[in-house]
Amino acid sequence: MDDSRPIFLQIAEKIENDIIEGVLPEESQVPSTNQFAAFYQINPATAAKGVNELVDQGILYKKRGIGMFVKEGSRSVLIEKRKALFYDQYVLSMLREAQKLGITNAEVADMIRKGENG
Amino acid sequence: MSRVAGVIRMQLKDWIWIALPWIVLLSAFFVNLILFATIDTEEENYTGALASIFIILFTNGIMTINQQFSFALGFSVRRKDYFWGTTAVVLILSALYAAALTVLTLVERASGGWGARLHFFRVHSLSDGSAAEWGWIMFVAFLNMFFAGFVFSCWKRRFGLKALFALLVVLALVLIVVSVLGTYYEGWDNLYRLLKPLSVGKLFTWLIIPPAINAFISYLLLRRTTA
Amino acid sequence: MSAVIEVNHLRKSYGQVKAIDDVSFQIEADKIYGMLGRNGAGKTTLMHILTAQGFATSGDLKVFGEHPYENEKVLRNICFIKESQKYPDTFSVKNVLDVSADFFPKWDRDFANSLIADFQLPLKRNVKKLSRGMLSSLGIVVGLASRAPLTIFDEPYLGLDAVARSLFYDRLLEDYSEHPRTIILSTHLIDEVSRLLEHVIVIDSGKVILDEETDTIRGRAYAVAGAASKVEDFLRGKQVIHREPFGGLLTAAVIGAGDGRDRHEAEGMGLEIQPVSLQQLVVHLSKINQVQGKEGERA
Repeated sequence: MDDSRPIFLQIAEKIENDIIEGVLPEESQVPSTNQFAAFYQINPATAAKGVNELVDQGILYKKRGIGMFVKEGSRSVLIEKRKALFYDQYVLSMLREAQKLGITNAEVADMIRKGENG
Repeated sequence: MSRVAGVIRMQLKDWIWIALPWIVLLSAFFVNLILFATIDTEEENYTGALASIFIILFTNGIMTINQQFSFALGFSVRRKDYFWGTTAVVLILSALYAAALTVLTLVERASGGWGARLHFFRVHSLSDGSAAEWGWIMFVAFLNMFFAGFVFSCWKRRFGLKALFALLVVLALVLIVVSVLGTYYEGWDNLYRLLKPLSVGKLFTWLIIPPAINAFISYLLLRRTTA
Repeated sequence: MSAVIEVNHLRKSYGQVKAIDDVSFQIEADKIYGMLGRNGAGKTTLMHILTAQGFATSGDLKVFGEHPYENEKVLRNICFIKESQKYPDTFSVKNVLDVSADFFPKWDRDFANSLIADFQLPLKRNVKKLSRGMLSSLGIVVGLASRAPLTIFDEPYLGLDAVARSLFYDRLLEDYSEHPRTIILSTHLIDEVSRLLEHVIVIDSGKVILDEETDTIRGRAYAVAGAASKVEDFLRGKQVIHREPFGGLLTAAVIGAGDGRDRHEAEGMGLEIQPVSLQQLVVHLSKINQVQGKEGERA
């Protein structure tokens, strides 16, 4: 856990990652708030806030008396969301850095292709 | 469990109440017994070692404030409950110890000083009356000793060490003034005439007042004492 | 949410020294709070007053709705583990546990025994002969097994190694999940416990300088670093809480999330955005408080 960012967001991100990577398949049960709290040594209320964040976004849903489950179709929703984030966080800042160093967009594209092969 | 009962149980876990006084007293007794049994003497042997158990009650009065009071307050005990629990322990133990010492005095008397002319538990002119009177005298003496130590300790705890010295100086001055005035106005003769017709037992009944006052002052001091 | 503790304009002075200076806050039921601040900030004094072991000079105080002084109903629901707790000279670890069972109505003997085993405390050892770490462990055992509706730990892990501290966090969270209660952890070591805390109250020089949900504070400030002149340009119009020059470089802590427009702006200027940890944030805010305090004295 990174102490400089809200922990509930980090919990939400971890669950998102697990869904994207298939560790938590759709319709599978998500660990309980207390399990998150114990595993990451964090406050249970904070863990609950992270889980609820995803409930609000429609990624998780609650089965009464049983627990939280991953909603069907949520994996593709998350991937779309992450793609937008990817463009914003990585691509834009990469292009800015390239501009600073005088690297043209074409050269950047070349580099990416090289990275693919290597 | 009531908090007072909790304080009583807490106090009795400490060896200063039961084990310490009897270990000291009985070891003094057996040392004296062996001593006087081996040296064959025609004289009656008085020791004065009985005072040790009374002195221990005095030091317990001092120590319990530093030891159990701070501890109890830290464990969410009210000052009131500490006071009553501790007072109960002292009343009960004083009564039991006075009774036990009275029995030992009777045995001593019946056995001719444990067969060695040893008068360990007998105190000249105090223990010569009835057994009940002797028991009562010791009970009152225990209370006087304990609460004398207790009130000084409470004062020190409440106002600090300097205040304790100040109190002692003031008390010494008061004592000097009273004794000088007493001599000057022949008050001592009058007091002697007043007390002379009283038996020692009656006299000690009046002596229940000082520990009662000391207990009351201690309680007032504890009410404003911090952990 | 009902308030377990309500403090209004509390003051405590020793002569000229203001140990607690007009403090007001509330503690809500069944949350884990952090009472943070440097040594000597007034935390311990405050907690002594909350538990009626000390007296305030003025102000209002309610614990479970009533004043705690000589109040059995309130006090029996409080367990305050003091760093400076005194034990009778002759008491063993077992004696302390037996007394705890008498004084804390919700005491769980089995839980206490399992904690004693976890922390490897010798039951028969005299408390006087325990090491500093063992003494802290004993406090932790009493505090957790008391299950008191209001449990306060003052600097609970002095002398404890990393393994024992981690054990404490594990047991605390486990038991809190099963038996929710109000817990206050008072400490000057913020980083390690901050994850356990739902809410923090930061005290400095007898004043409350921060009283907020922990997760809200995280990400409340960010640091920006780069050439001094550029950083100064960037800082214009922003709330700066700390400046640290180094040669021609400057690192500054700024209030804000450090994302979106700010991040783009900084990156556009060739500046680097860095996170500010909770500990750093508290340190920065304490310094501001002290500077303001001194200016207040001059004025």
